[in-house]
Amino acid sequence: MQSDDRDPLDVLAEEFADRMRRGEFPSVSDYAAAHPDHADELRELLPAVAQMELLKRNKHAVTKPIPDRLGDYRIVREVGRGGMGVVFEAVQESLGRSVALKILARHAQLDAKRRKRFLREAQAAAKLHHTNIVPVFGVGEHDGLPYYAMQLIPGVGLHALVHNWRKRAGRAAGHAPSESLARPVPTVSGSRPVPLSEPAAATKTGSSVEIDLTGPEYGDWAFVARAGAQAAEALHYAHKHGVLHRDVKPGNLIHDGEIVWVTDFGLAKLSESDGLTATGDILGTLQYLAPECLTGDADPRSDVYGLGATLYELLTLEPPYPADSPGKLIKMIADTDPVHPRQLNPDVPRDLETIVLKAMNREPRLRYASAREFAADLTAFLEDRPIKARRTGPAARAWRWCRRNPAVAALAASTLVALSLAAVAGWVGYAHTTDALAGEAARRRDAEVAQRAEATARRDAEDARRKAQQMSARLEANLKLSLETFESVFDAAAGSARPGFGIPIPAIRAHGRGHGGPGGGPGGPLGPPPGPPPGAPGGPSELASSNAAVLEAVLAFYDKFAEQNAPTQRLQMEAAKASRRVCEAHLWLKRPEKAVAAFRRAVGLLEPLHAADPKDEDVRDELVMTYANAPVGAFADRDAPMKRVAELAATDPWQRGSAQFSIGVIRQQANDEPGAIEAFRAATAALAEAAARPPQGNTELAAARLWFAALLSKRGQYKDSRKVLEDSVADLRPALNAPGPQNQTREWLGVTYFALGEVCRQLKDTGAAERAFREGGQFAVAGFLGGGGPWGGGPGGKKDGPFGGFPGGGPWGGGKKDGPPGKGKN
Amino acid sequence: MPAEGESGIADLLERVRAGDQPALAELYAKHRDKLRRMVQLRLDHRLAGRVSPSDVLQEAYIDAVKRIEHYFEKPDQPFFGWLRLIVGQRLADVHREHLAQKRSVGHEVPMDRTAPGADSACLAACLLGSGTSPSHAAARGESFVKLEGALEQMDPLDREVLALRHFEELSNTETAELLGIQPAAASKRYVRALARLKQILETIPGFAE
Repeated sequence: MQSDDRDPLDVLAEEFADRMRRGEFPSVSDYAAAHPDHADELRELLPAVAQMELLKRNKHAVTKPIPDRLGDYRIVREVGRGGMGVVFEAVQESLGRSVALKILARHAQLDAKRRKRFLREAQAAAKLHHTNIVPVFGVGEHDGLPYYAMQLIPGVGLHALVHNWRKRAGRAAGHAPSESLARPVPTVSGSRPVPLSEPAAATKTGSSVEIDLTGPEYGDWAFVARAGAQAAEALHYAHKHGVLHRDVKPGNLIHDGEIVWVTDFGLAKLSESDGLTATGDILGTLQYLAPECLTGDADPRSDVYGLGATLYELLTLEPPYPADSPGKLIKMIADTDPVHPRQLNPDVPRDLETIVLKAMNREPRLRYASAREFAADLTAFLEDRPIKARRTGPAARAWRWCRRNPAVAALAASTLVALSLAAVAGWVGYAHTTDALAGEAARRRDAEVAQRAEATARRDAEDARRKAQQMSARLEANLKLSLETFESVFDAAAGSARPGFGIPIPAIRAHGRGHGGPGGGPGGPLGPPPGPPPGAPGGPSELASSNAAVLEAVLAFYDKFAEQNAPTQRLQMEAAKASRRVCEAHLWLKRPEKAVAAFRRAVGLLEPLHAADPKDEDVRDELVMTYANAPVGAFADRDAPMKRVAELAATDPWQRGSAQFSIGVIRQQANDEPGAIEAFRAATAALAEAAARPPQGNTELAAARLWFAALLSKRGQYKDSRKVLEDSVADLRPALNAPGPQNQTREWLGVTYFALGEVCRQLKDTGAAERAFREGGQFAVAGFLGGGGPWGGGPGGKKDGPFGGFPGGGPWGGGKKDGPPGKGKN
Repeated sequence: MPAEGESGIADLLERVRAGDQPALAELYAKHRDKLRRMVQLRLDHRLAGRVSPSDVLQEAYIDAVKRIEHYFEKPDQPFFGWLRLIVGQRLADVHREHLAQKRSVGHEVPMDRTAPGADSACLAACLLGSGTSPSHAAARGESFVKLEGALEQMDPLDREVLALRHFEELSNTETAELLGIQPAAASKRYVRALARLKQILETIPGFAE
């Protein structure tokens, strides 16, 4: 070591490198500490030195020469090269038998610990004895080169088979862009490059020996199923013995003319620890790698995936993911589903496609739970028995999507969310649309062929077609679908808690979205429910809390979605709607700060949209709804939100009426009865004034009148109350003959009659009361009996109900719970 | 490596000059490791399956025997430098023979008989030789292209200095002699090249760990 005129950093770097070459692991920080004058530069440069020295070891290991004999084995000739190393035909001299000797040249640089692990795992693999597993005769190490001696199987690797099929099918590399990359030709540095035109049989890497096979033809689906079943049984056997294959791919399956052999058990794991530098090699492996393996979580189902991907290629002549770079491929494996085989070749049997896609499901728990189940379904296919695998519907696809989307991962807790995200299939499932349509055509064909097909079958096909068309209606329709489903989930979550919440808000704009109505339908959250939801709890409960969590999670999802996409108006609307619902959820949970935050968020999204286009009714309506639902703490002035509503709704009697309705309810709850009366009066006037009423408008007006009448009764103004109810009946009855679903009108009519009967009784007009009860009886629905909506409060005894229940003697005795009218309650 | 003992080498050289062939073999063996590293580094990776470094070294030894007289015409040059030159020429011949005529691998191969330089691809290959998982390995495929491109922009002399110091494991003095520059300059050059390399590595995804 000389130091004449040398840069002191050079001297230190050289010393550092020398120590590494001697097998030491010098510490950069020690060097920095020992030479404070150069500490910064050393910290900067020594890592580069270390990197070069470490990486150089690999390079040298690869090119380490291979001897002409290894222990007992005399090497005869080289058979092939692959990612793992070199395969030789050799003779085991003590036994005089021919073997395939695989020398894992690339593992030579493994440290002692890893080498031990290799030996341990390889020895475990060597204990496997199965008809379809290439027997391992021995495992060892010679001169630091780990090796593996296997039975020499005369046959062809399935990769070679596919290659030949592809050639015969006239698919040039250009036709199948992935071919040259996925082609399992060994291209490790250190291997002989094989021109594309060379017969594939010469490129095999396994323990097979080149033989001339006429072999099965492409399109022999039974062959594919049989090969798959045999390989799956072999894998299952290995799994039972605790050995994972980890690298199931066409190149590791050998067809000997009769059966299929699986080879190279447990070797792949080792490759994780060494360098696979050649692009083609990586692709050849990655094509068949289960997504979870990218993060290092392999289990038996990962092998199921690998075999599924292998069969996929046998069915389609294409690897599952066409990609021309490893980076793209990894993205595709992680994020997308493969094209369905029947789209590539319509001749592929549907059941076989279903089986293969199930095995390749991105989500391990949706694959076959074991290789044996996989084998069983393949056998069922071969024997024309029904298979167990089911095709994945949009909901399941959405669910999977949600599982792999980090923003939504939190939702996994609740199955409710699966529902909401079924709609998201609209967004995600875009790509599946054509697929769905294609599948539909086939279903229809099937349905027509089966002459005795029942009407239901046809209806199913019809449904499927409609669904598929819906999905193909592009983003717009998909968003709408998502929104609707989201709303119905909200309903499911909110429904049980609403009576406890106690502020039924009328549907402001019942037309347009196909929701609305007093309680049913996806729009339900906005209408006072005519009856209690089944299983209603006694008030805001733990159930509500978990439901709110669902809503918050969905909001998070919307946020994420809005973030990842152009902030279009529609998306902002979606986010605003979600925010409004979250606001409501927080209100039940008595978390006013969060409710206010959600409210502000909704307004913050909507006001700019409204300012940009004041004529956009959707935006305005949503804004009105939001203000109408403003949590108490949001404004110092309690009436401020409603004033804004009145501004916004000035031109629309419906909205004005609805806003007034809300104001009335709010005021009543604040014990401002005169204020409430004033608001209800304005509400009924505005709603009645609305010229063109959609069918649901009846129920909205009916609801307002009911609340109005209830409050009037409470204050002893029975005559006024009776007038209001009679007007309501008069308006509702003709609506019974209107087209469209009548259930809600009937319910409201029933409720109104009962209220009218009660009021008449108070007025001592017994005849009118009896008439009213009799009429009401025609429209009674079971759901009414529990008392709900404005009339009785929830079964939990909420005190908001203006009437406090009905006379105990009546058949509709809400009073059973709430006590006699006019007493107790108020 | 001066530690080997210049006197031992001088003695052997004297015996070689006197026509003692085993002495040349012994000299060659003394330098064999360094020469092998050089061949490993510079042997085109496309040839790795067909030509082993041992083949190259063996043929180069025969060349050395044939041409030892040339060395004694200018005996003040370092013997290792001369040997390295012989091996380099043999390597160039091997490349020409195997690469120039193959249609699929025929990219431009220099026809003059000098050792191939440490080109960027070869350095990049060395630098990207490791990883811990298939996905790392895959990412390396892309990194390789980037790293190669980045190394391309390095001063060729810097590249060569790094290759000599790390991949051939030569000392600063040997490096200076081979490059025909002063040891102090070679040393500065090396430190500068290290800093450049560090910068380059930082721009390559997967390297800035």
